[in-house]
Amino acid sequence: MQKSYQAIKAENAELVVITTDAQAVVKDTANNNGLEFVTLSDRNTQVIGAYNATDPFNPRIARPQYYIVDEAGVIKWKFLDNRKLDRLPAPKVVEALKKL
Amino acid sequence: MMYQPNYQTFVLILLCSMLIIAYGCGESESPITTDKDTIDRGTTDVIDEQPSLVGTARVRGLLVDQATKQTLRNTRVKLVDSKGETRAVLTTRAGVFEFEGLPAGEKFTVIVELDGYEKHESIVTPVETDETATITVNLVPVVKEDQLPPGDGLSLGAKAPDFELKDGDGKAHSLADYAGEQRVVLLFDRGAW
Repeated sequence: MQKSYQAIKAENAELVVITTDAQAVVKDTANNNGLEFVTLSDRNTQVIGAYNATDPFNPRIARPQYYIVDEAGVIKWKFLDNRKLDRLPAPKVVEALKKL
Repeated sequence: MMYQPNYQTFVLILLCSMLIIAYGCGESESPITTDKDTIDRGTTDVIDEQPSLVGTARVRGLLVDQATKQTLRNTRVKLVDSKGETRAVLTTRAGVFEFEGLPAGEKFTVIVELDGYEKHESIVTPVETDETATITVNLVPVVKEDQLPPGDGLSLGAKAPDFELKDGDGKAHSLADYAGEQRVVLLFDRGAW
């Protein structure tokens, strides 16, 4: 996602990643990979739960999914990987931002 | 230590006795009797009422589910006056609520908060003495979003729930930070577990 971060910013959007990683892990991941976007720690899956994004097979983690939320806070686009393993190539997200 | 009756105690007892007598004489005109009559007539039950604004006007209403048009019984209805003082009653089996002893010309807010419905607030003003203001309160049921299977996320068009979480540096971020300014690509990820 880092490679496409500037392209996302260019579409007047911010990238926010939510995981169940602890704050320290989030920090390490960001430092080690030079990540500029916001990564948030949802240790007790409170927000992941509110988005119905808890992995049905592992309640401690999120099932990967992508949303585009517009300026009014409405969900305009969504991607959910059916195979539960694949992440969406970041350029696809940029593409979706451009189309909306 | 033995209790020693003295002059001060005697005066205290005398004062108490006078108070009791004075209260007893006024009791026949006490508003408590009026409240009892209200209940005996089979109108709505008064839960709490110590308002300072009083009068002879009434507010009577019917509580209805806007979707089903069914009346809603045994539901708490609040009436707040301009001083912020609250009267509350429960609706009858027929969904009726009634507030009595209100000052005419005063603005009242009718408030109903019931699970599964949006909060209702409306203004009612009984204008003339002895007038009964009659209103119908339509409660709007909260629309439930289409529930997707567990883990399948939220539907398109749904309001994205706001959140506040901390980043690696302990700084809090919320979805509302971007509202009105930027779109947000929100990515839920398994992380480095």
